[in-house]
Amino acid sequence: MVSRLLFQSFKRFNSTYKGPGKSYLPPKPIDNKPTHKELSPAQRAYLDRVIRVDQAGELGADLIYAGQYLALSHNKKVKPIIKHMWEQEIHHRKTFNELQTQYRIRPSILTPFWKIGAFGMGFATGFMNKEAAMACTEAVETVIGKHYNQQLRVLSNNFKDIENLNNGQNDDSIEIQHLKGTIKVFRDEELEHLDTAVQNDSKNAKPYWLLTESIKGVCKTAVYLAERI
Amino acid sequence: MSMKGMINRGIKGIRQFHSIYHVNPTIIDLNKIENQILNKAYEEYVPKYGFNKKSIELASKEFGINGGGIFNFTSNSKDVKMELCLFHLKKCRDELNKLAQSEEFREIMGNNNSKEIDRLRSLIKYRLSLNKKIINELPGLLGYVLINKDRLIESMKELHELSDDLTYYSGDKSNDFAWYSKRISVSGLIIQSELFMINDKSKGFEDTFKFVDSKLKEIETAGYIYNSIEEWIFFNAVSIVNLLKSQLSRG
Ligand SMILES: [Fe+2]
Ligand SMILES: [Fe+2]
Repeated sequence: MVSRLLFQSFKRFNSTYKGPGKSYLPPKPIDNKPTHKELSPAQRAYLDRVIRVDQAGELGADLIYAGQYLALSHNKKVKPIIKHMWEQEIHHRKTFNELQTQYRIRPSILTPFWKIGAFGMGFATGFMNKEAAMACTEAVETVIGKHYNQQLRVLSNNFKDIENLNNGQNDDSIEIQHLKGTIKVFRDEELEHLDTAVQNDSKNAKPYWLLTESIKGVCKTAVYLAERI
Repeated sequence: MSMKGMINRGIKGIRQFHSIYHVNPTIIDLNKIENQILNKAYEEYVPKYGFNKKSIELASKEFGINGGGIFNFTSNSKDVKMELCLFHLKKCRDELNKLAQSEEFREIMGNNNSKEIDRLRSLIKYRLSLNKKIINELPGLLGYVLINKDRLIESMKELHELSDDLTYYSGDKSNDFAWYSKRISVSGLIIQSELFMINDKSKGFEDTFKFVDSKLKEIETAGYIYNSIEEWIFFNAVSIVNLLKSQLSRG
């Protein structure tokens, strides 16, 4: 039992692991021909950052839940709750992994640290108690939810000027639509996780304020770094 | 130049976000007059006069332009010789890109029996064979682009683009640190092979290709070391955790 659990957690560390499943990418254009004009260097630089930081973030989320699951596996009541959120994070991570290779984005060079740090944070809070684990989830999902909203704002406002080669009008390519759609779904799921955490007594964690504020600080720093390096 | 300035200059221009639905920037934009001049110089005068100002001047003349003055406005380096050297590197990358887009190559990629490392091997050999055309000028070119600090930054940028292309075309799908270790290994391999190549007198550069084979074997083995270190850290962490759990639950 424990070994199966360990194996499950371990799979999350192993980058070469590819689970069964469908493609997470937008469909290829007809004849592989572009449908839209070139993106500006600033737009490309922005997309580059978005995918790098989101990939690192979802990797972190996956491993936080892996750590919590390992630490709280004896708790029959919270186990399925964490499992459900964890499975959604696995899906998020796989999606951004595929987007990163598809669009030829450089992953964050700090990836090994994100792995160890996230797993450590999940395990440590889970090891304290269920409430601390939920406070950790609350803090992380608060930061990530805001972060995704910010990205959606920029993707809606700063990508309006790209001409469609087929009709001469300015609109979003399927690529941009797909990215926006993906982020929207994930944002909603992160906010569900936030609700779940609050419903499961995250506010009773001690010391609540110190725990959530410091985890928020860590997340913001990680976002800053993963966007850039 | 400050460290930050160097890094900024080094990163500027490196490809970001390769789009599927949008037109991507080209490697060499032949609509630009300076690239037409460089192309002419490279194809017609470099074989005779080498990577020199003279080749540029002769090519410019055909376009009715005197000297290489135009490059003061269009290049980072403001150095026509450097621009010509970089043009060779870009031109080869462009050829590689064409190969990767071709039907035959797509077929090879679709074939599940071919391994990533084998595809990488053929791509590297193909890229090296593009040097044959200018092999007599290669020592001069390498000497020029690698020796001065500013030029080194420019050529490293181009080298990174090349190793990124080679790794990507060979089918790399890595999502983590392996992304870096692969590209760094390929860059190192390219430099070493080109330095080997300039002294290679064997028929058809057999020895260079053998050198590539042996170096790739080393990389193939070393590539696994990284994953083992990661596994090693993880397994140690897990066993400590288990020890702690069993010790603490006893108390
Ligand atoms: Fe997520
Ligand atoms: Fe989440």
